[in-house]
Amino acid sequence: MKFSIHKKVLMLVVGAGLAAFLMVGIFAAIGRFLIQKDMIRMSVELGENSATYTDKLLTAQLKQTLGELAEAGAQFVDREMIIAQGDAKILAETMTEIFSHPENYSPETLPDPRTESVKFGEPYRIYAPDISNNVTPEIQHELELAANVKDLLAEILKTYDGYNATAFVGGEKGWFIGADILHGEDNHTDFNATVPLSHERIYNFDTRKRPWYIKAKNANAPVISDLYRTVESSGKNSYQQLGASVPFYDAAGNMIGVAGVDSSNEDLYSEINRLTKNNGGINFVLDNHGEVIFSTVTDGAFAVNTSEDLAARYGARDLRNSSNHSLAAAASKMVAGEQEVVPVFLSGEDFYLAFSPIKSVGWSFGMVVSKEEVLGNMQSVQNYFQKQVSNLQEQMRKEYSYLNQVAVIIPALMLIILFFMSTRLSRRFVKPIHELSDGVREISGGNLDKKLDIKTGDEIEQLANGFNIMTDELKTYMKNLEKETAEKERIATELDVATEIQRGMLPKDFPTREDFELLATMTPAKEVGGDFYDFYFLDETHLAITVADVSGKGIPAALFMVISKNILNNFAESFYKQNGLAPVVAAANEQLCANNEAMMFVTAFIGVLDLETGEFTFVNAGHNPPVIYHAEENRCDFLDVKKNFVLGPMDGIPFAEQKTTFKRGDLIFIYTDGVTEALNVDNEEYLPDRLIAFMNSTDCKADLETLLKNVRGDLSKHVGAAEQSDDITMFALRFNGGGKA
Amino acid sequence: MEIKKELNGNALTIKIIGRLDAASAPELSKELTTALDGVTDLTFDLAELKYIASAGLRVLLVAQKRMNKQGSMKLTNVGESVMEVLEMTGFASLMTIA
Repeated sequence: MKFSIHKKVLMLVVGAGLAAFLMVGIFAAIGRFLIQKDMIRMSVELGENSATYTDKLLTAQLKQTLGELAEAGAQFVDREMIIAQGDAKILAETMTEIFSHPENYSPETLPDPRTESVKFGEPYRIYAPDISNNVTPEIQHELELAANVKDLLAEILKTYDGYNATAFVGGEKGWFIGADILHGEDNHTDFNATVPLSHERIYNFDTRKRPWYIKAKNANAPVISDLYRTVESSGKNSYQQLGASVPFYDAAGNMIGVAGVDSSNEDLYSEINRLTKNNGGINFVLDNHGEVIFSTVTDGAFAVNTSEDLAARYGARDLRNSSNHSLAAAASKMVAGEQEVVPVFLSGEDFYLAFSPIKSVGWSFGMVVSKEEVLGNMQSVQNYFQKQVSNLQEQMRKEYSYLNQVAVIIPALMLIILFFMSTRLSRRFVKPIHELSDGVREISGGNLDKKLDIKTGDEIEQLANGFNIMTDELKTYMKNLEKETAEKERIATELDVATEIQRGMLPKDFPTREDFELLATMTPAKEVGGDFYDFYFLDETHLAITVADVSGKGIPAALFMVISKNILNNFAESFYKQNGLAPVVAAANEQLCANNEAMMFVTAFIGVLDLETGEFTFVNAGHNPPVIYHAEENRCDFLDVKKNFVLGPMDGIPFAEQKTTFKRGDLIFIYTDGVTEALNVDNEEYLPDRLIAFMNSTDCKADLETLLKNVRGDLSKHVGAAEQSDDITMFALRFNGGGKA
Repeated sequence: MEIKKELNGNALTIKIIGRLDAASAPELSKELTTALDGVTDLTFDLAELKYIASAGLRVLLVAQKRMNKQGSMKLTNVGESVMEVLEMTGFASLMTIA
């Protein structure tokens, strides 16, 4: 396929542009793809991380909050227990004081609920069943002494307003002094109301069998009792309670009895609930045996055991023994006094259990919250994040879609622009080339006056300038060529004239006679020399022959040849007979010397053959020695010639005349230096030696035409492809007369 | 053909190298027309002259004729082939060959 430069430039520019766009486009696409991938990945990670982080954060916060709440609950219970214990201690210390210094106190009386009504907050006395019918004065005295505590007892109990509570002291001998309060609907105790004491309480109550008494007595130290029920089997006065109890002594340190306060665990617990506001969850307190003693629930694992059988209770409801491992593990930690928030799995649901120790009593406060409930918030947060992230991704997808469209449209637009621009550009680029091409076509059409006017300032302008210079040179060259051609034509014409003169001078009609044969050829060189030959009869029996070579070439040589030929002819015919050949040659020389300023000269071999006798008279004026063929001996050799000077330049010089005699069949072969000095391609001359050798090898009896042809053949063999450098003249004369055979 | 000239006062030595034929003779002829002015002693050194044609002989002849008027001329170091031509044409007896 062939394209114009315009198309090539166009293709180049568009191709390069396209390639650049493609490269940029590919890189941009790859970059976009990578970024998009990364962005999507990052946004997904962001969403997940955010959700996870939120989850963790919320869990941590929840745990902390739960932990704090549990701690607050524990502290509350702790404080309540410390207060209860403090009150119990005050009572016990007061009792110890009374029994240590009985002399300081007078007997006090207290109402007997069997016979009298007792108001809330008012201390009363009860004897255990085994002594109630046999109260010794000693026992009565001890009770009346102990009754000194009644005011303190009432005062302390007043501080428990809002609870169902009891304050009491009990003696080892079986007496009991106590006061009760029961709050009403308004959460306060009506101190004017009568205590509804039951039969069990009044007739069956034995202080020494109460859990708080047994525990304090056994410990012989202040204790917090385990959970126990009031002595009432039913009614408002029947409730679970726990209390603080402390033994008291006489001056000798003998234990007299136990003092204490107790209150309803429900009341205490409602207070905790109010405090911790744990709605929907479960709050409970685990004692040092792993048993739930307070709880906001009444059934399930965290419910308080209301069994009356105290002995059976121990260990039976120990949460540490629960078949639920998570719960058992948590319970162990709680009993061990640790503070933590742990996940527990209860009846197919996940919960968080936060617990904190109640230090004063060695219990633990626990809060149980459903994980689902708490994490419901978390899920919504997670959903929020994921929604945000998916929004972001959607937004990004839209942006990328838009970007992709732009990425296609802009390069397309730019390609169109590029195409038009490169079309214009290549046109502009090609325009001067077209101008140049048109101009050159015009010049080649022959208009050498055409000047290319291209001002592009680039290589094309240089090229145009080059063409202009070339055109000028071409013009000059053509002028010179015209001149030279004219000159050459003139010279050629001149040479043609010279050649014509030369040819015209040479005799072409060779005589056909019995007494001799004669044949000559002259082959002129390209630039004509001055060879000539001549023969003519001086009379019936004398044949004159001349072979000559004029120095130089061209017209002057030709003219000199004409002169030489005519002079020789004239003088020979005029006075050969009278004076012989030498004077003829001398006279001709004199004539040629006249006015020969150019120093033209001619070498000549001049001979006269007597056709009757075979006598051959000759003068050699500076010419090549001819070859003689001796027929009798069938042998060739050079004619022994005297070396006379050439004709023309020197006058007054003598010429020696020689004679030889031809026998029948003898032959003389005369030639010019065009033969012996003929050059081959290696510039080697033919030389006289080769000539004589060939003459001796060839058949010299052959007819002259054949003989000359053979010599010419050998010469051609030598010369080969080389150009002829000089005229070649061959002249043969065979004598066939004398002494007829 | 190549021509080397050496002028020593009035003595001029011209060395002709190569072939002095019809083609190269005019060059030597032209050279001599100016070179011989004021020269009384002309020497042609023909040691490296390989060939001389009749046209070359004519140039020598012109020089000889001119030197006959203003001084002398001689040929030196003439080689064998050139000498043959000079002898054949009778130039050898006419010119001074050293």
